[in-house]
Amino acid sequence: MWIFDARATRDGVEFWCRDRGSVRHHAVAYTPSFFFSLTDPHLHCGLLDAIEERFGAAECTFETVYGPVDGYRVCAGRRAAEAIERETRYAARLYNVDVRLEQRYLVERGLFPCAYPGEPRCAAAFEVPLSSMHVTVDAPPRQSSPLSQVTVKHGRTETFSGSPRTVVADLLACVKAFDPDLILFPHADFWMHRIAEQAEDSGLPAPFSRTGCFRSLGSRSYWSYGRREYRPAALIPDGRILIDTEQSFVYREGGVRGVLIASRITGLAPNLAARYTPGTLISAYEAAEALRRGIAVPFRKWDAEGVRGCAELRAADRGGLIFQPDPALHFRVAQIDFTSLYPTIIVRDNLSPETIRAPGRRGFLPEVLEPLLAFRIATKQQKKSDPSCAGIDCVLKWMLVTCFGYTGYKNARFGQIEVHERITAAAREILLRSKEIAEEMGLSVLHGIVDCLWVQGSGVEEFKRRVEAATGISTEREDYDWIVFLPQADGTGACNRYYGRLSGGEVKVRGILARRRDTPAYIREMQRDLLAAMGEAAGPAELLALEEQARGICRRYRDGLAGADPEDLAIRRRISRLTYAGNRMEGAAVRAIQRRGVEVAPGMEVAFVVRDAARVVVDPAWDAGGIDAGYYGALVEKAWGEVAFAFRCLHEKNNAAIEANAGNT
Amino acid sequence: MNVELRFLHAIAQGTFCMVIAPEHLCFLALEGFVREGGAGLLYICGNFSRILGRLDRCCPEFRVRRAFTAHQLLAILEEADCRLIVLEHDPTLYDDASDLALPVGLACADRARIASLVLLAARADPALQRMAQCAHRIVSVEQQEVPGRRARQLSPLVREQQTLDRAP
Repeated sequence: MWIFDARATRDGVEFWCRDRGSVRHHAVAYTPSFFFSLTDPHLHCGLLDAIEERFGAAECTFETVYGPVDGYRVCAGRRAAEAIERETRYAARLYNVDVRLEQRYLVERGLFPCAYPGEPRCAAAFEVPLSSMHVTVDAPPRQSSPLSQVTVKHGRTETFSGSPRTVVADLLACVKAFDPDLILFPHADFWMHRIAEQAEDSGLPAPFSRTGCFRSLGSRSYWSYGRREYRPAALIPDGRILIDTEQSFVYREGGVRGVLIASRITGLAPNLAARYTPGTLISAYEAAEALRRGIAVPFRKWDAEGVRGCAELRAADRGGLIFQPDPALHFRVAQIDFTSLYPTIIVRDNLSPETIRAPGRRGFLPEVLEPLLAFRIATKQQKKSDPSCAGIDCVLKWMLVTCFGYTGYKNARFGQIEVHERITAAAREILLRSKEIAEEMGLSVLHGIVDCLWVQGSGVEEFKRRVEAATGISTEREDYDWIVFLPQADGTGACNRYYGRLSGGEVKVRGILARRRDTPAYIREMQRDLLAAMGEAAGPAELLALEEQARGICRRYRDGLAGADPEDLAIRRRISRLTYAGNRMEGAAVRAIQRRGVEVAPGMEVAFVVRDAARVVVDPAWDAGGIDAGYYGALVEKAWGEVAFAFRCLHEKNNAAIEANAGNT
Repeated sequence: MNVELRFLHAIAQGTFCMVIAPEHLCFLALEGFVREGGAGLLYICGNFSRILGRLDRCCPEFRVRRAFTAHQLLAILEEADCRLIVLEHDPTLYDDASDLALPVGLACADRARIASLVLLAARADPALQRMAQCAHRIVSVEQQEVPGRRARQLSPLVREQQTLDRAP
């Protein structure tokens, strides 16, 4: 029995699984229950009597991460829990209220999706017994786009075209005939609403659903790492996995196996695992692990940090450590990167909300993160020989990255700001100690940022070994033939903008225009061409010899700007709000799109072309009415400037060498 | 006492007093409370305090607790056991929990039975309005706008002080 979809119903839960070559549907009765506790139950005698009479509340003792708590168990759902909360004026502490029912059912029975019974959960190699189909609507995902052609791939390729009614009818007939378990569909969450509407108008059954029903996931704008994000509303068919291959972060990073591993780890159905962020996935994983251990999951975040002294707060509340680089071009440099530094610190230093004040016991967070961390370290090794593990490794990486951030998130069920602070404090110590080791060995530390160091000199392998021995954390090494640390506007080195050629010949870039999401494709392409040319050079003389070729590439793009496709000049930015103070391009883009009758929401990405930068006039990318040549010319110069900095450094070095030679003679 | 801090006279023992005043006055008020309250003072703020960071590093040590959610604020108020509590209002706590403004107000009033509780806010907002139902006193200090200046360059002159005494 290989469960690939699950949903909660009014009376219980339903599952769809692959069992001996066929799809089976199971429905089981399941009544949820939750716990609550009160600091002074005598104040709420009347309410307790009413709950007992209505729901059969029973006194009990339940486990929390902080230890056992005396309280009550109530066999009812969220509405009853929220009513208790209101009636007690929020004095009641509630647990296990909002854990997904199907996830809870599976956890309580020791099951998890996307696996055969007895399979280990944390394994990169596993069988996927699903039949799959690729569906593509051959039009951009816009309200104005016609639903007139759909391409379907399932072993062979079929194209359906005609009126929307014909296309949808043909598509549904094809899905019915082939009966796939998994549908991969770019912009599915956009197109499904159109397809469902058309199906209803034509009297056809609900598309893709094995029961004729859908679950709907509402659209949502939310903040993630200081950025406004948007998740479109989704129609999720029963009994089938539908992945929006363009919108799903987990799919984009990890492919189908990435989505399935996220489902196995969290106990969520793949349809949800594909649509959730890594933060929600790690939260779901922690909740599932808590339930597996018999620990109640708090409904609200009420456990505040302890009393701090004002001075202590100032000292503790710092982030990661950075050694600022000098803006320069360096040859023969090694980068030493700590593997999953923050999660490793959580496990190594036993950091968890309940161990902050009781460090003697094993903490919940280290206990649940340890197997995930071990799994990630194993897949990171495995992917070197088996590239099919790369997607799984990537999903694990993102989940572990967010598990640190989540400790400081205000609503994290098992987070605590003091844990967050202790992790960053430990990371600062580790980076500082590593720098000291490097300097003791006569290496030059060129740059350092949170969990990696760039060093120059001989004995790097020995340095790596000593750092691992001193910190107990494994590291990865990358060697550069050359690397450029770029300057900031004030002339000092930027910590997050660099590029260089790795010893294997590949060019690695961070923070420059070629890497930024909002850079127009034309400019990105230009910088990539420049870096590809520079990637041919391993040493200073070869690099200098490429300068003329690079200037030629720049000229070609500068001259070609007037004839460039406006779509390639589109700037893509995520909007955090609908109205902006001042005359900002994002605000102008929102207004331009709204004027054309398209709805926008905070967190959405808008694509616009600048028509007049001085007057802040922009057009939506799909309806561009001309470009501001001066504005885009400046972008070309900026992209060239980042690359030309390497040549400038080479000339300065040459001049310095000539002057030194002249001085010697 | 500084003329700008006359409103501190309105803060009486055993009351929940709400002070809505420009940020620099809130800061001056906190300085006064730290001098007077010292170790007996508990300062409660949100994730980002607009006032705390401006305090002189040499000021006397006092206790701080941060609430990142309205539920945490309720827990902190319930656990507080000192004679002077200064609460810096953080409207973001109520962004996704607007229902909790009134319970927080009630908890403040309840805590004020055994301690003086002063809530400092730079400006009024809907959450504050709901909490105001539970306050014993509300002091609102407004700034006089100087013609020709931008809003953020307001004169620190106090135009008027309003005291709405609700103490029984």
